[in-house]
Amino acid sequence: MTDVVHLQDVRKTFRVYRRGGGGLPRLRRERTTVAAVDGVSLDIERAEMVGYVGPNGAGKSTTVKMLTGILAPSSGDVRVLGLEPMRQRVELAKRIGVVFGQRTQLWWDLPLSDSFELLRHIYRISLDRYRTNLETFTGVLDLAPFLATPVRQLSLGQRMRGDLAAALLHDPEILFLDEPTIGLDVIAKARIREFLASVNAERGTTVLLTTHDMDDIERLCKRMLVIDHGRVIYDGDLDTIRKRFGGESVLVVDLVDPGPPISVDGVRVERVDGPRQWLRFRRDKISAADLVAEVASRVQLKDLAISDPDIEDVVRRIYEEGV
Amino acid sequence: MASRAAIYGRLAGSRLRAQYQYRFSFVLQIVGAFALSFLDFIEVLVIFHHLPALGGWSLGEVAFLYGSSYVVFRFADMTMGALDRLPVLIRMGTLDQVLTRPLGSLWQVLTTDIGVRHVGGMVQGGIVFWFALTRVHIHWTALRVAVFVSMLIGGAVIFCAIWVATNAIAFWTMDAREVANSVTYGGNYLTNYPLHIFGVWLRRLLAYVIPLAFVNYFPSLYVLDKRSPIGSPVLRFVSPLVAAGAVVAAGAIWKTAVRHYRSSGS
Repeated sequence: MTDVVHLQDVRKTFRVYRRGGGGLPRLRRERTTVAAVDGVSLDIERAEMVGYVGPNGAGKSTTVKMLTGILAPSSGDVRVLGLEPMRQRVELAKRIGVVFGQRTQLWWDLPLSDSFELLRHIYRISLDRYRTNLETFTGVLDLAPFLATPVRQLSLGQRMRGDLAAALLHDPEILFLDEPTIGLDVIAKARIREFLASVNAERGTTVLLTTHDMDDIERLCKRMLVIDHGRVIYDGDLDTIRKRFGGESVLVVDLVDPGPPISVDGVRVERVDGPRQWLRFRRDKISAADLVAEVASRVQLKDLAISDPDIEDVVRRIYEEGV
Repeated sequence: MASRAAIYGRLAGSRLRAQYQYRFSFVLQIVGAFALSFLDFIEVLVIFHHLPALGGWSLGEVAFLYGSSYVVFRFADMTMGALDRLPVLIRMGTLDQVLTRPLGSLWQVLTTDIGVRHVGGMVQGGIVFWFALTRVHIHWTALRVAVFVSMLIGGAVIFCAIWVATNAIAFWTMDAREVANSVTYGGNYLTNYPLHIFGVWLRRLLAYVIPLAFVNYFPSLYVLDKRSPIGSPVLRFVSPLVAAGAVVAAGAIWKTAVRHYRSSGS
């Protein structure tokens, strides 16, 4: 089996209590069962880098938690590296790395380097390997300036870099990331993406990451899984999905003199604001170069800008329309 | 196994160092716990101010129960006290972190907080225990020494097991501190006194459901050579077995409980 992750018809239901109506509203509760993950099947091969996307509450985190042995599935088969995560949690933990963007895996009160040192003992990392890895990560993630700082005093970006290093010190075969770039600024995001790409390429680490940020997917993942209401509604590459749902690009032009909406075949003028006009078009119908040439031949242009369809819009359309 | 213990020792050590950063509060807590715990013993003294004996037990003998119970109880409080924070760890989802590490979840939770302040309570219990030993006459034999030592070890183990089993309820109910505290702290109160002074139902509950009677009452009957209206004489020697059983049961309860962990959103 080359699959390092195997999910077959996995469900996770939670019992939810709601305050019901009726005589004693504070005492009577309605019990309902909610399926956070509702029959997910998927396989991930070694050294793949997979993005797991979906709106809030779609079941992304729940899936990751079942894969890492935190939550027990209600039904279905979960296998990670051939192990059953809940039953063989400790054995699995030695071979995977986990990073939750929302909360740290590090020791809050201790300097970052102390956390690493504790992890060396917990994972029984040989001193050689530990030193080599720490040196590499310190360099690539630029950890040196805050190695001696208690974790609670680190900025979010620093903490995330520390968390990533911590999760990789023991050379895990799979890295699970839950929202690794959440709340970070553009530069910090770029740095973390670059690091993840290099870990995947150089170490052959399988990576599964959940994210809200489509840029993460665009920059990192060939394969994308879209989940909604606990079900996988798309599993494939980004290009296909973009072609299928490929939204429209927008050409924004600033004219020298304000004029009437420019009419070109297959192009819709979305908005006119004085000398500025917004033109929506599809790249598979007319290329940006042709459109610009056409527009320039009719009016005098001062400036222009093109924005491409946001993959976020694409995914939103999948949620709304279904595949 | 030994290296496992070393890792937990290391975790506990790092926790202690973090706690010791607040030195003044660290020391004050120990002193405070020491002073406060004497109030408990004053209750015993007040009772004996009015009565010559309690259920046929003299002040020295009750002090023997009190001291032995207090020392092992505070030891359990010190090592297991982190379980008080379990509801918070569960609600905040902090347990996620614990469960992704290749170590036992219970041991990791225990090392998140070391109740050093309870050293104060242990010292107080020790002083009362010493006071008791000067007042009672024990005919020390090899078997008595063995029962005495196994009483202290078994008692501590039983209390620790009760702590784990009752706090594990938090995995189902989110907050189990009231239930847990009534069994642990309430249990400590009951083991300060000879069991046969309590009503029959409470007695049965304490002896055979929550095995508090094996913490100190039954073995004390043998060490102090007392007659008892309850229990077979064999029960005086089985505390170590009961302690082993309690550990197995508590471990099973914990394991089942962790499977019911719901984590938190995102």
